Amino acid sequence: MSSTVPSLAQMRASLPPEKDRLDSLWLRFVLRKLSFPVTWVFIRLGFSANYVSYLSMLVVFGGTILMSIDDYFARMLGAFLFNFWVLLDCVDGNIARVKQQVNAYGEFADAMSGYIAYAFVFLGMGIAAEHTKPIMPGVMNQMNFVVMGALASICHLTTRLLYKKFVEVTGQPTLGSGTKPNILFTNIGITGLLMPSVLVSAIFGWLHWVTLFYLFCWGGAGAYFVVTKIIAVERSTQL
Amino acid sequence: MLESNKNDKRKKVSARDICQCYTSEKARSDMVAQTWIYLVLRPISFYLTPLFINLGFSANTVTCLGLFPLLGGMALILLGSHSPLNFTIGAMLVNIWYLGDAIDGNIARFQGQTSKFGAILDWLVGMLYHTFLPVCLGLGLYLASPERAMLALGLDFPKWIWLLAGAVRLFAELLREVVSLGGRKIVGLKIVDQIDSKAKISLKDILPRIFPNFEIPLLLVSSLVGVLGFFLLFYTIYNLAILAGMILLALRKALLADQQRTKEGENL
Repeated sequence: MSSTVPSLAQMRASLPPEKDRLDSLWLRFVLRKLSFPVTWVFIRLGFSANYVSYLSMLVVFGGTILMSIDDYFARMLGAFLFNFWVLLDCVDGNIARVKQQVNAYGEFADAMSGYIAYAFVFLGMGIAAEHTKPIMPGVMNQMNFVVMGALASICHLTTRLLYKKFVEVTGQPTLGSGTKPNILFTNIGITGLLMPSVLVSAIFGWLHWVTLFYLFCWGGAGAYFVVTKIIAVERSTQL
Repeated sequence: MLESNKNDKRKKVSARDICQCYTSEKARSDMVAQTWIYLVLRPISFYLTPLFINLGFSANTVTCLGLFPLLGGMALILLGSHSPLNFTIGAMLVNIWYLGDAIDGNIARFQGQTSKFGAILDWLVGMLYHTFLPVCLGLGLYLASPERAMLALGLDFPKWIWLLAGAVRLFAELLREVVSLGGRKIVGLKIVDQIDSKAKISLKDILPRIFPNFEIPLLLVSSLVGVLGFFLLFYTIYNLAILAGMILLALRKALLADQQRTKEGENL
């Protein structure tokens, strides 16, 4: 059995340098490095890339449920599970590459796991923030963070949807890989800054700030995207 | 035809001119994908479209103008707790927006203005309806007194169910769109097959799309009868089922595509 398990060096070698370079810093320097030994364990346990994708969906659901429970340790575990989801997201890719299981089915299953995370991570964070929010000044005290989390999730999904629709209609990607907006979104996004932020804020009770930050971040990104890309399409139509 | 339409800008446009631009392909696609538009709104729109063209409105302007009845209608639905009449007027305004959606298409075809920009704009406005209506309806029903017809039917749901239904439906709609677009990119196939342009359209083609096709008129009917809660619950469950079906279908298509690729590899 061990002869079929690739070595850590083989796993590292299977990762295209271009892909590694375009990942967020958190993913590149922390989770990706952790993912290689975890991948080794999963391969050793007989998991295929697709089964890891299915498991990652369950991990996101589990993380959301734990974040919804009004208990410090449940929240901590929830935040940990969200990070574990990103780790599994790396693991299924690693397995697919080293076992040469890259196919459309796996890619779609992996994408599905991502879509579920986009819908649930912010919602879970919002529910946890509602439990932990302190007494805040003025209007902020009236805020319902479950709604804020749901809105952040909607903004994230809508921005992603707009991007995909734009690509489909125009036939060209809007944010070229490696461009400044792409690097920014990747580093702030769900596999970037969000993950360490959730961990730290779950410890110190700052989840309400993180929820608000991501609501403005994705709301702003969506608005920026709509305005700039509609103008771009309008100009290209006129030419 | 389009050239002559552009050249004869000064000539008054009539309903017959608009009707002539309505191609049989478009009629076929309407019959299947937008049955309510095909049966009712399109014939009405033929008479209203010349009015907008003669006033100098472009297709995109009409799309943007449609935002007023749409947003106004959704705001009134949200304020349904003030008066049950708000639900009905709101639903009427949403239906007016839907009629405008038929008119802007007519203008675009007549003036040869079909563009990527118009397609994105039209889609964006449609997405506004799909994302905000469930939320407005859920909040409106949550804040309003229980509907009499629902009580008469013995359907006394707890109020939070409307908020939950609105939120679930919103997420189902968004995820369905993301999955559909993602599936097209990854699997390289349309998840739901297009109707063959030459094949005869049967009830089998129309029936699976009947519920989304009649959603907007049913919104008005439900508000008049007083069963908007039932409408919201039904479409929430329907959208969840469609989302689940779409995911399974996309996975199956991906699996078949992979098997095909493996077979081709073996043959080589």
